[in-house]
Amino acid sequence: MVTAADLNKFLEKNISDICTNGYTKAEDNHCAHFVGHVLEYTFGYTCKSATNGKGSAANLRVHEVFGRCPAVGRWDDRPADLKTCLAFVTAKSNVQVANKLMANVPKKHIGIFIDGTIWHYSNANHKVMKQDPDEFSHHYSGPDIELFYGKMI
Amino acid sequence: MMLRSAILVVLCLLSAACSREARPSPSAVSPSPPVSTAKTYDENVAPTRKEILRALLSSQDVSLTTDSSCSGVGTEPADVNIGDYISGFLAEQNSGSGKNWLDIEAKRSSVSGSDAVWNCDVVIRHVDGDDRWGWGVSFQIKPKDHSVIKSSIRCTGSG
Repeated sequence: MVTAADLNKFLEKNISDICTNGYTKAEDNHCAHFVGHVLEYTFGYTCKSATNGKGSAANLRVHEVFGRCPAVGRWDDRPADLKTCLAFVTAKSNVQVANKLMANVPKKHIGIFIDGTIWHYSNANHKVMKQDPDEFSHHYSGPDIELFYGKMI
Repeated sequence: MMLRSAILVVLCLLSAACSREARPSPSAVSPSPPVSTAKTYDENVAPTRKEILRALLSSQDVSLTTDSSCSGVGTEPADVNIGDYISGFLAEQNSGSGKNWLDIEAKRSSVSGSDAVWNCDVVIRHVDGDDRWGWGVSFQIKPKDHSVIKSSIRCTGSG
């Protein structure tokens, strides 16, 4: 199980310091990519398959991770004893919790939550950062934007 | 009499000349050789951005089940083919803020033992702070006629 100490080692790092497959363009979205490397999610569409690379594979897509979580739900419905999980932010209209389905809309983001803090890759700042859930929930603007949790795969 | 004959000869000659200018009757038209509608291209010249996009548009009916990379990539769960997928992300470029653009490129691939192809990439991009994405399609086309090798289609993108 990943720890806060593990995640703190990634703070301020650019994706080029994390991915050895060369999937590191600044104009690409690396939020799921960062989570995929940290948690070793090798399923689905990965940086390795995208580049024919030789490094460790990491999933690149938020909606693929969401669909693989053993359980998902609205952030407010998160079990009280769930201290470590995945955090997702997107418009609630893009999510079907009952079906564990998140549409592949552009505005969706993922981070790793441990004991009140979320570590995530900020694509605007090109580095790993940490925020509390309230800050993270404002990653995108809009009345429909909402926070969701997913149990670790 | 001589004058009348001369006039008749002139009229006949004029008539003959006019008939040569006139459109021939259908029975007089010889059958044309069949015309090929397929374009051909210089195999050594990379396809243009327009030609790559035209090839992509010709693949709009390809199912998103064609490759695992395309599974679930539509912006709506009901999306079923490449046309749905591409349309969804093009429609997301309606924001007046940030920057929208297309990355389009072709690289020649010549694997020994197989015919050369053009490896094409089309990526629809948007950047506006943290709203940053690039989703698209990679595919191969044949250099001679720019037809898409359907089995080569992959859906690209992250986030």
